[in-house]
Amino acid sequence: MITGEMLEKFKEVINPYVPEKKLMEGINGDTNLITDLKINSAQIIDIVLDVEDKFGIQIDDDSIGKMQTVENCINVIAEKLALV
Amino acid sequence: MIGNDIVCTSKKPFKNRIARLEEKILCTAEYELLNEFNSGKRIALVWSVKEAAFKCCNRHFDYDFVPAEFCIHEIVMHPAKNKNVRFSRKKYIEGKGFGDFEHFACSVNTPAGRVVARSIIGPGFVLTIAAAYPEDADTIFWGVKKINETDYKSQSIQVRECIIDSLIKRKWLHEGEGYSFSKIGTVPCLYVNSKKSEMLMSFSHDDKFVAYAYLLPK
Repeated sequence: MITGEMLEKFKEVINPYVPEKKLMEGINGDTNLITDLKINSAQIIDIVLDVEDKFGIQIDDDSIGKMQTVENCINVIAEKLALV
Repeated sequence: MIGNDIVCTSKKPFKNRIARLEEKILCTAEYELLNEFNSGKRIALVWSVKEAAFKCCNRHFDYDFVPAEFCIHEIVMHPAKNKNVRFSRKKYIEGKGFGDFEHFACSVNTPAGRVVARSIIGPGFVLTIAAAYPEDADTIFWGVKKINETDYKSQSIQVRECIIDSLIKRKWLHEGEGYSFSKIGTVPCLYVNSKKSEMLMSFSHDDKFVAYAYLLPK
C-alpha cells in the first residue's frame, strides 16, 4: 500500500487537475490518473512539470510513459529522488 | 484505427509554461520542422497530433504514452478547397475530412509504425484526427462543439449527443433506434439495438471544447 508523506505531496500536485474532487477520496496505488481520476491526458505533462517543481527532480521521457497509476508515479518520484 | 484530439489554446496554465512543455514533448526534428510556427501554436499543434496518433495506435497496442516517441516527420499545409467555408464563433463545427478547411497534413512516426494526421486550427482550439491510412483520414466525420461547462460529466454527455445527432443527420442512425455507448479499454464503442457496431470512433475534450471523430464501416 502506498502511504505517507510522498503520497500526500503527490495528491497536492494532482488535486487541481482532478475535475471531481470526490474522486480524490478513494485514491490508492492502483488508481489510474486518466481513467479513475478523469484527469485530461493533456494535463499529464502539466503534472509532470509540477512534480518536478515540487520534488526538485527531473523526469525523463521513459518515466513519463510510466506515470499512469498513483503507485507508478510515486515509484518514479522515489527513483528520481534517489538520484538527487 | 482512428484517433482524435482537441486542445484548447486559451487556457492560462497552458500559455504560461510553453517552453518547458516543449522540452518534454517535442523531438529535435520537430523543432526544425515547425520552426516557422510561434511556440504557442506549435505546442498546441504538436500535442494534438501526438495525442491523436497515440489514441489511433492504442486501439490495438497497449503502449505507454511517451510523447517524444510519437514524432512528426512531415507536415504540409493545405489551403481550403472551399473558400466559402470559414470558421466563425459559432459553437458547433462539423465536416468530413478537412479538405474544406485550411489544414495541416502530417505523417507521424509511432512505435506502431507510421500514421497520418490532419489538423485544423480554429478559434480557440486545435483539432486533429489521426488514422492508419490516408484515405481514412479524408473520410472521417468529425465535429467540434464549444460548451458552457468544463466538468467531465457534461463533456462526456455532450460529445455523445453530438455524435448521435451527426449519425442521425447522416441517416446512419434513425430516430427511435436503441443505442448506447460502452468502452473496451479506453476505446469507445457504439451499440445499436444492443448490437456492437463496427464503426470506429474517438472522443476528446479540453476545457470548453468537445470533439468527436468517426469512421463508418466499409
